[in-house]
Amino acid sequence: MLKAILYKEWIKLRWAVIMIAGLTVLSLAYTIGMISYYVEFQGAFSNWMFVIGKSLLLKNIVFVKVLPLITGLVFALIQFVPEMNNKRMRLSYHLPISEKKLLISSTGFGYMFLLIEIVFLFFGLWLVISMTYPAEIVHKVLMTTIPWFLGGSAMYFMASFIILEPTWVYRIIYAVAAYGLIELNFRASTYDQYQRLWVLILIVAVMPFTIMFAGHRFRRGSK
Amino acid sequence: MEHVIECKNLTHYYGDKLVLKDLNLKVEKGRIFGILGKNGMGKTTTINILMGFLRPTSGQCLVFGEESHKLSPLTRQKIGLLHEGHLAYDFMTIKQVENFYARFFPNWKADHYWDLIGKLGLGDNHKIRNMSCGQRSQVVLGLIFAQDPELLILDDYSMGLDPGYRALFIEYLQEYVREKNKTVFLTSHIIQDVEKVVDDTIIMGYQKLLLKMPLTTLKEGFHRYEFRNVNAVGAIKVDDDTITNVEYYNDKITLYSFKSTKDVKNHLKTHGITVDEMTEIPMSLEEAFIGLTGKY
Repeated sequence: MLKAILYKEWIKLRWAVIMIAGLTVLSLAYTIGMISYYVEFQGAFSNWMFVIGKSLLLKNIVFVKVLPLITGLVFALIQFVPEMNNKRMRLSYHLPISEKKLLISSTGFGYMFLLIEIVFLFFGLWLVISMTYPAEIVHKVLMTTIPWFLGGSAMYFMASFIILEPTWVYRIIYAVAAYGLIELNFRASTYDQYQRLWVLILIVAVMPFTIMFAGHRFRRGSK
Repeated sequence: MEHVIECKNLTHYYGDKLVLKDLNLKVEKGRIFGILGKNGMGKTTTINILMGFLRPTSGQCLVFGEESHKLSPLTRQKIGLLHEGHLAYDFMTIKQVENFYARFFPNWKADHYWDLIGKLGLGDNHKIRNMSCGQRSQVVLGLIFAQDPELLILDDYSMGLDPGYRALFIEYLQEYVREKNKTVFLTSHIIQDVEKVVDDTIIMGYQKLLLKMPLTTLKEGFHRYEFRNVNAVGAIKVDDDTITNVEYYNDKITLYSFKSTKDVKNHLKTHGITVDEMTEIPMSLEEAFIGLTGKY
């Protein structure tokens, strides 16, 4: 039964997964290109002044910043809008599988692809930057990117939660709250500004439970 | 007698709006039970309660002995459900949807599905979203048949179907259900189709149950009488015992009743209305339905 649920989610997600995978590779290629440009044409001093001192490197890995966010939103829309359209979710809820298993497997499958992208971006970036910069810089850049990845995860969970919520009034309230929670992850403008990453991790870790809550409300016909 | 479905004092409100009031019904194993009623009379609400998509304000529904709002996956496996509007995963193709459902049901009978689909003349990779409502209805029916459920619940199966597909739907359903001794619970507002398949029926009116009886009893026992009397226009009161419904057109009065001509005449006489000549006009089931529920 689990295989069947994953099969259904794959049918919905496959084209988006392929497109996002392409975008992820392109964004890493762009980052490699930009770093090569600074190293080859700007020289060591310029590198230190602008890339490190003025956080120029962060500006050039903007794709790493927004890609998980876009992916989270796109995956949630693709997976759950068709289910909510005409209340099609009732078809899934009538399947001989528990509500909890159904929601965990559906969201788990979507999140798995997002996680693969995040891991790919993280290690890709590590590889690209560590070829040119010292370990301290690599560490700082990667620590800076972690909240962005958490932001992408938060976007996926919150968007899924909002789409699965059966009433528009609650959707709007949740959307306002979700904006605040996601935005928390994108406040840093220079390297490694977050001293309490665990708070952000904790917030994102709680988010999947909201999907269970919205799913349960739909199941019970909440209006 | 084993009851597959049993509802006791089912009452439901949407906010302040009362939709169902003290609905009681029992569906016996192997019977075809139809809920008839005009739109907005609570048919879909009843199905949603039965399938656990709504929790009733009060009362209780049991399906295979389990409370309807907490049906176990094993019990859901025994129920083939057709949602209003022939709801289907429209992002899937004919082949994909069969692949998907087959993994949930141990007694999956793929032949039933492909037999029905074969008649549509569509390719396996045809997307459900690109089908007409009629074609989609065949896909959904095929999936339910392949599931081989003990109980079929069909919510307004006739909605959106042209006469051809309606006839086809009924034909397949009739054959399948009779052959396999299945229990069916269906709702519809198209009476002439239901007439062919339903054993027992309830007719729902606004916030109340109008009638609960086998369809044959309704066809044989419900009468329409006509007479002319200008003085009686507006003077006849509807009551549950004798006069079920009354319509006026100029001096022509049409009465609906489960009583005989003689009883109706006597009833009118006790209310000061003398009728010399009263004619019984034969009715189709659809006319009987309109007689019961009213034209508006």
